Amino acid sequence: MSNKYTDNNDKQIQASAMQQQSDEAFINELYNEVSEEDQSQPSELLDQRIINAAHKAVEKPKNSRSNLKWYSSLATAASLTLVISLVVLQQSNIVPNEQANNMLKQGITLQKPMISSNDIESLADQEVVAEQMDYQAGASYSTKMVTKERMVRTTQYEKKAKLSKQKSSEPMIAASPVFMAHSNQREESKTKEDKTEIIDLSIQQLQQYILLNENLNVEDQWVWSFESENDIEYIIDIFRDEEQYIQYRLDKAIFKIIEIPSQDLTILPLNRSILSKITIIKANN
Amino acid sequence: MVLPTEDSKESVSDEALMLAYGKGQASAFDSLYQRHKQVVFRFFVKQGLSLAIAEELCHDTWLKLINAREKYQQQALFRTYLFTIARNTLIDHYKKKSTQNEVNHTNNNSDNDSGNNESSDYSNNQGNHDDLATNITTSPVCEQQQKEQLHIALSLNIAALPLEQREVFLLKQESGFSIEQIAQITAQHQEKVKSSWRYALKRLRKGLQHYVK
Repeated sequence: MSNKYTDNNDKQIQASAMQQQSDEAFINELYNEVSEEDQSQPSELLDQRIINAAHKAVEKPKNSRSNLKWYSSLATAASLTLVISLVVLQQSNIVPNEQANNMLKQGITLQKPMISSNDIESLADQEVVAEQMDYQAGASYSTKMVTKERMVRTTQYEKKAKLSKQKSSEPMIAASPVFMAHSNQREESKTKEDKTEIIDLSIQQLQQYILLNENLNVEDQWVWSFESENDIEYIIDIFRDEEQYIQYRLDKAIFKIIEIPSQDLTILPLNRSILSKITIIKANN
Repeated sequence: MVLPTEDSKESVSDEALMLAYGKGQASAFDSLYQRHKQVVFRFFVKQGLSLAIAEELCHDTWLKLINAREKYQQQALFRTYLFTIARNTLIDHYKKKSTQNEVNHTNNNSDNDSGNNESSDYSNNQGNHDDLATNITTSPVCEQQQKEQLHIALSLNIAALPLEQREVFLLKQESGFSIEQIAQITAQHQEKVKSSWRYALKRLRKGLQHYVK
């Protein structure tokens, strides 16, 4: 039985192989007959396109490398320019308060103009005096203590300054645009309050006060006082001692300090990073 | 590696030429192209595609080869490598065409008219083939015309084969690959390739038996 099955299988395989050979012969015969007809070739245009592409592909790396060099050098130059400009921009935007705080932290005593207690008339004055005390005792105060005291005074001052602004018609000496802008921000966001308070009370306000109060108590060797003003500028004097001073023009519009040349007087070093940030408010008369 | 010179290129193998081209010798590609351009082109034409599409696919195939010149390694025959690229290009074409048909089918919303283009092409081809066969058997034509018609009929019958059988048939009959090489190109088992070859022969013989005296 199994032999018969195997024989049948073999016969089928043989028949299939025979059939395949016959089919192959048939197809080959057909192919031979039509071989002359079938001479299809790609067009010359296609040949040219492909060969050109092949040649370009081999030549391409040289060009791409030179382009890459050009682009990479340009990109490097652009990146460097960007980085440098960002650094310069960042440095020029340093807030004077931060500088003062840094100096305080380092224990440096600043030579700042002094004021007498007679000049203290308002809450802003109190604040200025307190600020001045900070500077006087800068070396002895620890940084944390100075910061804490300033924060407390600032909070008190801000609250009362708002009330006084609403109720009274007295000039708001210390309410500079910068300060008011900070105050508005504080109303919007209480979470940032503590940080902004520290920043608000600064050398600027002290200077504003001094600038607007003509009778300065000169207790330090280096003070500056208000000399005169016209429509476009203030004239201020910066003293080295009681005899030597240099006059500066402070532009009202752009708050730019311009030195007035003088041949007789010694030119004093001017901390422009602080003075250039001074904001002047006209007192209401 | 020594790059083949212009004079010795006739005797240099395809593989050596391809390696030389990979190293940057552009003229090696010219020789390779001249050797194989016709078989590649006919591989596409015999699929039942128009000459324009066949040329486009041919162009794509050679461009792929050009771009892969540096990756080529002499592990397989160059022809096997070339036809693997050609086959992949063809499959990509069918996939693209199928996607386009699906989009058209959705847009037109006409099931009966669009359908599967491949199968409809084949059925159209089959219809043409029947007409041709009728013409040949019923009208007296000269021998040259008979050959032309036989050529057309052969092309139509090949194009009417299912894709698997058609590619196996063309790779073996037209391009001269062995079953083993075809299995390598198509990434199929040898037995399946043999089976496809057998069925393709049977089908072609059935379709073309009218043309043999």
